[in-house]
Amino acid sequence: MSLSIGMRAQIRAMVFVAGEPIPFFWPMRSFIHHNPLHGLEHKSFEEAIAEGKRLFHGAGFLPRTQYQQYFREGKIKGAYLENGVKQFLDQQAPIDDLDLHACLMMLLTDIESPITSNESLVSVPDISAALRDENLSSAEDIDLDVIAERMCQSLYENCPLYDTLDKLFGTGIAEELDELVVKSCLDFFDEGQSVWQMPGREKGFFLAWREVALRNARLLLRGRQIHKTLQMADDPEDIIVYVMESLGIPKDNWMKCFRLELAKLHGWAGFIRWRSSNRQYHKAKKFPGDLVDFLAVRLTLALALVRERGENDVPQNAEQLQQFIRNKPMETYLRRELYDKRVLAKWAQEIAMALHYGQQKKIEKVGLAYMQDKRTRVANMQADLLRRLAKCANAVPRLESMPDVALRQVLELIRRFEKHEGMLWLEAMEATAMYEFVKGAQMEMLPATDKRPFAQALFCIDTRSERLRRHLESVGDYQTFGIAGFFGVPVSFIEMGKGTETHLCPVILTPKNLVMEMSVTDVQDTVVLSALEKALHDLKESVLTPFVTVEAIGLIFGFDMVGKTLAPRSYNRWRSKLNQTKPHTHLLIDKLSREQADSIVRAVQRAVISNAVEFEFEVPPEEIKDDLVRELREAALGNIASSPLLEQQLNNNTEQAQAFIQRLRNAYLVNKSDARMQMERLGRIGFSLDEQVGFVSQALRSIGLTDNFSRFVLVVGHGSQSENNPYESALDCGACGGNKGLFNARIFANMANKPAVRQRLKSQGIAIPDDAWFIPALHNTTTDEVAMHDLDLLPSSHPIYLDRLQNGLISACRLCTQERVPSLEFVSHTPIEHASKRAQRNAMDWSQVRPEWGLSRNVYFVIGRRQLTETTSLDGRAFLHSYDYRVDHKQRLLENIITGPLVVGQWINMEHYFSTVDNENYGSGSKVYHNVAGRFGVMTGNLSDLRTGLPAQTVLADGKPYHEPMRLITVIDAPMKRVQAAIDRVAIVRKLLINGWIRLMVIDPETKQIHVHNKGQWDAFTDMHNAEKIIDEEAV
Amino acid sequence: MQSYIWLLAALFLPLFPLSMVFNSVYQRLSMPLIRFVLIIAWPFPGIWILHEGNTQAPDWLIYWALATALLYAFRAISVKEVTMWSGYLATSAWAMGWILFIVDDGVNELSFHVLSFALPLAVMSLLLGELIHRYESAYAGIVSGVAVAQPRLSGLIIMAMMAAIASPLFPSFFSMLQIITTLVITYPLVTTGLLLVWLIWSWSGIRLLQELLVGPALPVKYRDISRARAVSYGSLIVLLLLSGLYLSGVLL
Repeated sequence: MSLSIGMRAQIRAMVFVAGEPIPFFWPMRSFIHHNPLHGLEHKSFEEAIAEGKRLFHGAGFLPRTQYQQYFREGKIKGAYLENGVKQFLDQQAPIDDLDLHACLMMLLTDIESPITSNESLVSVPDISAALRDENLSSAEDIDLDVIAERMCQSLYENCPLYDTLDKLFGTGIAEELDELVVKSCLDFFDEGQSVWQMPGREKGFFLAWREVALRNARLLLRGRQIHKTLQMADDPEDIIVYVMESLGIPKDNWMKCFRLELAKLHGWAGFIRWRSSNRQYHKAKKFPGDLVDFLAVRLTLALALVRERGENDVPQNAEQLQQFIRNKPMETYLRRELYDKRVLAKWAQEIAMALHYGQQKKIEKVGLAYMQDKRTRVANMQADLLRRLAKCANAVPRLESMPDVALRQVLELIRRFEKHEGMLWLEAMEATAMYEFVKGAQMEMLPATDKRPFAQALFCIDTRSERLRRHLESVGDYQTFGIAGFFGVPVSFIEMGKGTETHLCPVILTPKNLVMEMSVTDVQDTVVLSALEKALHDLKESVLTPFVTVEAIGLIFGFDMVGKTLAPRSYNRWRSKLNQTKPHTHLLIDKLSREQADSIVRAVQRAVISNAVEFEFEVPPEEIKDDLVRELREAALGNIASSPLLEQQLNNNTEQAQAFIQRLRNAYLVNKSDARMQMERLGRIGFSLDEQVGFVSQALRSIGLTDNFSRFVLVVGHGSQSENNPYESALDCGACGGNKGLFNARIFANMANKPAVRQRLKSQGIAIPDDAWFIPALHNTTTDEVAMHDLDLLPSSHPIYLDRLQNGLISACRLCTQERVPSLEFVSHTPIEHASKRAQRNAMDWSQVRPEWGLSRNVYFVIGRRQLTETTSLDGRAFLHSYDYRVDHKQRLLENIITGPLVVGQWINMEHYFSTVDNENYGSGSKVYHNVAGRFGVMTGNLSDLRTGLPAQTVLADGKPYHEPMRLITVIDAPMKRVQAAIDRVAIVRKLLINGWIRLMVIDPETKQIHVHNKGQWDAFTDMHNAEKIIDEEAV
Repeated sequence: MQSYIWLLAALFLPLFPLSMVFNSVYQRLSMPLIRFVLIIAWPFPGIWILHEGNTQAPDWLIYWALATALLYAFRAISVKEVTMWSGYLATSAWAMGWILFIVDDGVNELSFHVLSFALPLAVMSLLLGELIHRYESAYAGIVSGVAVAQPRLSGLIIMAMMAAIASPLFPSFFSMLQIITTLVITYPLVTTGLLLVWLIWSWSGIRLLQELLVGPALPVKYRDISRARAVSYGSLIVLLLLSGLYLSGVLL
């Protein structure tokens, strides 16, 4: 079988489009918070949730009982709920004699489970009969053919063919298929966790897998089918077409099926999708694999399993399945009830026996009795709930005597309401949160003071900075600002001792400039312990050595385990003394001139040639003269034809000399094209003066810090600290691409301290006084400690004030810890000493699954003056971005803020939202069962989909939500017209706003009006919030 | 001993196909207390007959008993209804009594063996009664997530199940150990078969526990058993444990 190029392209295009709703999965080394429904953001929030439920089987809202709990706790005000119910009823036709408003409020606040059910057997007359306590009509009246026909038509709607087989025959194909696909993915995509790697990976995922599958012992047990399929075609596209045709899926449904197949293991599919779209990713270049390969592997295995099960009289394709359903509707119905776990428990055994013996008469008899029982129960349950509802409106007699037409109307209305209910709760919860914010906000614009603060500090907008900022401001004369934690400098960074680049900026940006870290101390010998550690690691990772070394050196690990478990703080402190400390370093921030770059390339080439001569001809280094190296370099670059000095050294062996020169070009890469490439790479190092001025100027202007600079300006990046935590990166700075923010802080401070930069800034109207010094610092969010860096660069006039600054920071940190730690221990108060110790222990305890709450409970994103929020505690729930519209003359700064930080904030918020409302499907479940997979992700147990989203320990407390899931409430403190103009110019934010992925509230400082964006229109805050009613409610 | 006496003995100390009678009766009963009594009382007429008959049973019965034990162990894997499973397990375990009787010729040991399985299964029938009272069934997979909804009941079911599948320290474990140590030299093949049966019991039991206790809890919430009841059932299990420790001294 071989397809035409057009058909192949069509298959590729279909898979590409089918994969669009699958969210990217970034390797966890740099965890990227993302919206699990990012691919559906073109739809409205509510529609996307419905689609997400269909594809990923995830819930989009909390269960009603949880919202009822929030309602009882006052986190959802009744006034807003009533408002929502009223708005809903305004769009519905009225029903006579029934106080629907009271009924629906009752339904929301007092009834725990949904009233309407999806049970197709129960009709309105059945419920009507149940309301009147009459017997239901006979089950024989039910037309099973209609149900069967409906099943046939919906065969491809929500699940692949084998899923339907599982639901009708209990074949367990889906589970086994997932297991086989996950194993295949683990083999191919492994990034160094396995000691023995899969062979032939450079050929690509499908081809490498194909080679192994034909020899795989486990697959060989059922190998006939795999062989048969694989022999039909060589390429993944051919295989896909063959399988779809074999399963009898009509071509019109292929795309739908592909999408469902990809969504089945959306973690793996998301990783493969990200990997294949990231051209820079080294592993992807080396071992290519894309969604077409993934789908081909999956479909091959699926077909093999379907055919294998088909040997036991299970239909093997869509046509056979439809025939079965149409011929045996009662058996189909009972099978679906039993194997899809919808059956009433009482009947399970009897139905299982009837199906086992397969006698149609018995099946009919059991089926009819079962249907009657189920209908009666469902109808009675619905009737009871309806009576409870009607009771609050004093309408029980009316309900019981209601004609079927009216009852149908009521039930349809309730069904629509229950479908919409999640949105209603959510909007009421968000409105309450908006009300709470406005209540605490300081709307008055205070006049600016000329007094110079003792110190100023630039913090990341991260919610965890809010607490620290508030406490720092409270302990002394400090002024704080919020800015995205990469400080507006997108940079690619090579840390000392590491050979790879790390992008220190939001994932939506691609940095152009590269900064390298260089040691400024003498070269140190490797510490003995480090060497020992490496040796132990090698022994552990090897295939055989653990068997023989466990007795010999197992005790060493035992000491480590006891120390880390019983006394993590003391032990880790002692152990850190044994490790080599990182030497002092400087950052290469300035651009290299062409001469400098050329000189570096020459130096590297010379070193390479020298080493090559030493290695290949075993010449001692002292005998390798500069002239020889220079001549060889010229020869390798093609500037001269030969190297007489080398020939002389080789006793006039010209051929050997020419061969060596050729090797220099090919193996040692001393040639013109590589030299050019090296020059280009060197050209990326550092920032030009213009760039440095631009970045510093833009950052300072965006936060409104253009004058009145303090003596100290702290540039505080943040990072977390935890042990044994694959999610550590999720707790680091999102604006730095899931890395610690220290390097960005150092780069920014370095630029801002440069006299040449300051001189240019002065000409732009930003006068930084000579005595103002930018100090980089790192806020450890697990312990709340702030450590200042590069203090050796501090001017001699400053150290005298350093003590005061450090004391202020320590005080703020301790207060912050005292406020934060009780929420980790679920107590109302913790003494300050205990809080500090606890926080430090959390950072070092390898058994701690929740070192900190991270960004949990985030809800606000405030873009505006600090004055607006400084008098209230936002409880670590707000991203705070400083912005002063008065210095945004060109109105571009606001655009930049909403384009970058706000979008990243929305990703973080949505990640938390969905991980909370459905932790199993959108989150990653409990950390306790996690295992690292392939060094880039985690799985639950030893084999599962790659777990996306956040673990239960980050968003849940004892199984209940700790994070209160709401859409990001963005508050912009600027004139309404400016905000509207900015949003109109930024398409991505406009789309998020109109589709309801973020909420927006504009506080206009000029008119003192508050505007709320609501379903495409702007409402005045006062219209939306019935303040009197809410105040009454609070009093109650 | 006349053949109809053998048949009677095979009915009460069940051997296939007469074992179907016990299972049929056991499955038809719905009251837990009657199940409790039946599972303790059923094998004793069989033991009494063997004791009174005072005749050496033919050797081929060993293989027949082993086949019965294997058959019901395999059937135990395929069922999801825990009550049915306990009936199959009882049949499988009691069939082994014949082997003990033929090889060891001791009725006392036989009584110990039969009781060591009957008692945990009897406790299990009471616990399953509690479960069925709440969920209307004990069909694993359809009834699931019990560990979250009824932790006390789940804990007791686990313990009773461990006792029934002859886990260490329970009397059934020592009884199995005794049969195996008795047979291992003279009937190595039969011993292997018995070990296979033991393995299958554990497999089937744990599989059922997994489907019954783990997984998503049903939306309808039922109360757990009261503390007092939990203590009563727990005491029975502790008694079993203690008697197991006692038997370890007597039997081994």
